[in-house]
Amino acid sequence: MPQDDDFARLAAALGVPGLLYRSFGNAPVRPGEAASPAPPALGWAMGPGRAGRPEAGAGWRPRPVAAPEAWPLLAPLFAPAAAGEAPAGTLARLRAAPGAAERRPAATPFLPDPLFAPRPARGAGLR
Amino acid sequence: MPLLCIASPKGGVGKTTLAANLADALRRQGRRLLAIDLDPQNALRLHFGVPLEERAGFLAGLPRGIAWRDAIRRTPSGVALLPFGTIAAAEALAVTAALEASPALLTGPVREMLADPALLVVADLPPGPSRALELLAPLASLVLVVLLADAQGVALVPEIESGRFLGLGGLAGPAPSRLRLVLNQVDQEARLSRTVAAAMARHLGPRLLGALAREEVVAEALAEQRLLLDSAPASQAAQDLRDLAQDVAAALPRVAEPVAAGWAR
Ligand SMILES: Nc1ncnc2c1ncn2[C@@H]1O[C@H](COP(=O)(O)OP(=O)(O)OP(=O)(O)O)[C@@H](O)[C@H]1O
Ligand SMILES: [Mg+2]
Repeated sequence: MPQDDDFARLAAALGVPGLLYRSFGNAPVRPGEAASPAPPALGWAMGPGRAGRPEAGAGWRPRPVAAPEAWPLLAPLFAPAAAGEAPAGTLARLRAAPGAAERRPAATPFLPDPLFAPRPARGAGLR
Repeated sequence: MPLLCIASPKGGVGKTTLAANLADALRRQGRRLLAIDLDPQNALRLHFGVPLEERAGFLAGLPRGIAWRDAIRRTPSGVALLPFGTIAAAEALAVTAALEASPALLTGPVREMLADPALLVVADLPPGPSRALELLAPLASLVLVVLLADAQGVALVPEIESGRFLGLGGLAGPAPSRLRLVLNQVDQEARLSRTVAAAMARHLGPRLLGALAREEVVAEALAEQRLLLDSAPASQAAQDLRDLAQDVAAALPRVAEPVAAGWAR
């Protein structure tokens, strides 16, 4: 039964091999493999065959210990952490290569228009 | 002339926050800005300091044939604002019905706005697909899709890339350069946010136009009804916003000199 496996893992994780599973006679929380209406895996979202629909049970694990292959954008989450980051804007930090992004000169000259001229704020709101 | 739409398949990702503060940041570059609220939540005005009790707006008045020029508000930031208007549910449905019956009620005024070559129009859209987005996306120079750096954000990427969800033609569609993404609420201290954001940045490449840090000051700015560049100009999010404004400006068609007779007199 799947819940027995879960229990064995829990016992191992806690380092208490003697921990015993006590059944209260209730129905398993997780249904048996055969009847499993497995939760829709999100794997279809990013994988190569992503145009397809989620397949019931395909690749579903309650707690993945490795990135689901079909969801590669989440893969780095399961990889060992890398050290060292350059302080910069958030996007620049996200892009591993800081490569000088080309920027256009900013301001376009304009004729002032009363509607667009900034007014000194008076309190929080408009009057 | 350019129209910039801020949209997302998902609610609460920071579209309105971004629309208001990006309009302000672009305004600070010396542009003429008009921010238009297309979401019946009518929240865009709050960022610009419009008091809660002021309920007038443009889209709310559409069924009554309101003139858009009459609905314009000046704001202390210098950004001109068309609030949606505060309305009850029945009235919101009436607006939807009016747009359904005559799309020109919205596209007509927006075309008039865009006829001013010196004007940059920033539109804040409701979450998910909407009639307003369907009508305005074809007129837009740029549609910015806002996502969070989380599992749900990841799951939405292929929907956006394919154009299935927002009906925008997708990143592989006829004008993929008009559709760009922005990651909001990136938290460098949170492993999920940091790693997912970096993975999305790699995956999207130049299609990711910006990323904003998650910071309390962003939410606090709204609580104070102030714009982020006023309330916390030294924050990481403010820096990210300025970077984004530069990249947005670079991605937009060049704004021409303003015409002599402005539309907003
Ligand atoms: N970078 C950020 N850091 C911290 N808080 C943020 C950030 N961006 C947005 N928020 C907060 O998140 C909340 C939702 O933002 P906002 O209303 O802009 O989202 P939205 O996408 O417009 O929502 P809706 O779909 O309802 O229109 C607000 O309280 C806002 O202050
Ligand atoms: Mg909003």
